[in-house]
Amino acid sequence: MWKRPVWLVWLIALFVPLTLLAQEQGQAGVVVVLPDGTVTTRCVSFSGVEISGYDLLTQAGLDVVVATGNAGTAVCAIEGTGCPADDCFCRCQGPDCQYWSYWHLQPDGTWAYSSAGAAQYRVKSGGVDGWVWGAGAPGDAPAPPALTFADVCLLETAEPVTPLPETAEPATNQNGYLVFGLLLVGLGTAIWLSRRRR
Amino acid sequence: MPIARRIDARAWLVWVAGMLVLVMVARNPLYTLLLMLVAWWVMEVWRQNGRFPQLPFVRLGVFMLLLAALLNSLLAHTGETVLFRLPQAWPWVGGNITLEAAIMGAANGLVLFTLLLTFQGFNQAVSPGEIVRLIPGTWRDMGVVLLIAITYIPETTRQLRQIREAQAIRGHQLRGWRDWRPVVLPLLVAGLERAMGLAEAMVARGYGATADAGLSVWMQVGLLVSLTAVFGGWALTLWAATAGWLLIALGVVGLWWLSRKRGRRVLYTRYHAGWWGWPEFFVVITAVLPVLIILLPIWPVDYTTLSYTPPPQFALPAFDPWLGLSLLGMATPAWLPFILRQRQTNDSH
Repeated sequence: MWKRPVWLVWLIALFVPLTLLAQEQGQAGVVVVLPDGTVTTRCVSFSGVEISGYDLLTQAGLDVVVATGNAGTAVCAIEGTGCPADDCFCRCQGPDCQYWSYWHLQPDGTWAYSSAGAAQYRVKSGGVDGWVWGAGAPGDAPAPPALTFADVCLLETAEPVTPLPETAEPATNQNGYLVFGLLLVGLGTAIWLSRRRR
Repeated sequence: MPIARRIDARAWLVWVAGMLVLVMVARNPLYTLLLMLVAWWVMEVWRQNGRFPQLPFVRLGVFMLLLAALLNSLLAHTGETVLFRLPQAWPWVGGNITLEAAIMGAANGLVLFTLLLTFQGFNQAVSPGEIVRLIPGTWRDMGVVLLIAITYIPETTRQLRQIREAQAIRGHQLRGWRDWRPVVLPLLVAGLERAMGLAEAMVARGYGATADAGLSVWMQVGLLVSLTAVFGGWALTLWAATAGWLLIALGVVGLWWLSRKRGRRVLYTRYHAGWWGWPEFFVVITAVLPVLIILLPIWPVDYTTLSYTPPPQFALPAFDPWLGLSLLGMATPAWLPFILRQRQTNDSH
């Protein structure tokens, strides 16, 4: 008779530590570079050990306009710079494309151009995200200025800082494409063999 | 080649659920392409001639991709790479037609096509009877209705083929829309006859003649509490996500338990009992593992590669080899029949 509710107790016992784990406090920084070169930094405290880039930005106390569509959530404007939500990429409808490029501060102090949208990317506690208005393509986009987590969160400074001299390049993915090609050929062959056996 | 042994429908349900989660979460077209090929392989291995109408999948896939790319590029004008320009005065479609919007549309078309192949594979492998058998006793009436609904199109297609063959033997040829009358009328009549026959068979088996359909008071209270927990938890997620999801989970567990409790009062007799052996266990494990790898961000893989957003500027999607390899777990139902056949051959010698 008592056997059946036992699994319910197990379930609750599993959820309670997870809930407690989620209550751990984290901190991450946001760096926003406006077209005139003004650098705004914000430090955000959150519950848990990580937060999405989107939540980090919206909780930073900045004026943010976003649009959600089938391509995910896009950041249209920050602090009045950018486009309205109903035409999120109004400045990117052909050549001279400008929008808010999204960056992550790497452990070695360089900035990496994000290959994911802000809603998908998870910023770990101690991380810093960057947003820069301007040319947005991975090769053309100017990186945010050289900063550390301590600059943003421990000193809470918004002093002008020296921008990184070179533009950060997206990480190469040669091995990934090689494995993808092999998987594609393997699966294609398997399908072809299955059809032939029929 | 015949399948040596069928796989239990419950294992197939886990596989389909895993595929759905992976396709919806991993929105990078490179991962979607791998999942599409996996679903195609499974469908080819489990294809049973005559069981379901076979569609021209290559043409259908190309059509879905092109249509989605066309629609998206006409309606979304975002992107730097302008292919051509339509007059701005044209409502909805006027403006730049960009490569990035077309790629985004094609990626969405690929997702839809992968879902189609997944369900086609599932339909090939699992009979409607097996699906209905999985429905709890509480929902027995719904199960019968579901069975009728999911067999309607295959039954009608089979009947259409029979009528066309019968008319062809009599020398009838389909040239214009008027020639379809000798096919459509018998199809309609046969459909009505089938409905009458089904209704008589259901009444003869006591469908709807349930002696005790009421719910006890404590069960009604339990139902109310569980539903309140689900909807209350949903609302709570807006303020406290963890507590909200916990409440939803408790509500769902409560609903499942009540449904199971009530279902015990309904007796099922089964001609074929279900089977659960190591192949089913293996299918479930290999389907759950990729889902856990993708949903629990605790593994040393690059989770940012799961998403891909071509607009506003085109860039090749990134690919994590370990995430890609983990998706191959979903291909277990495709290669498992070969192992089973080998074992069967060895046992018979």
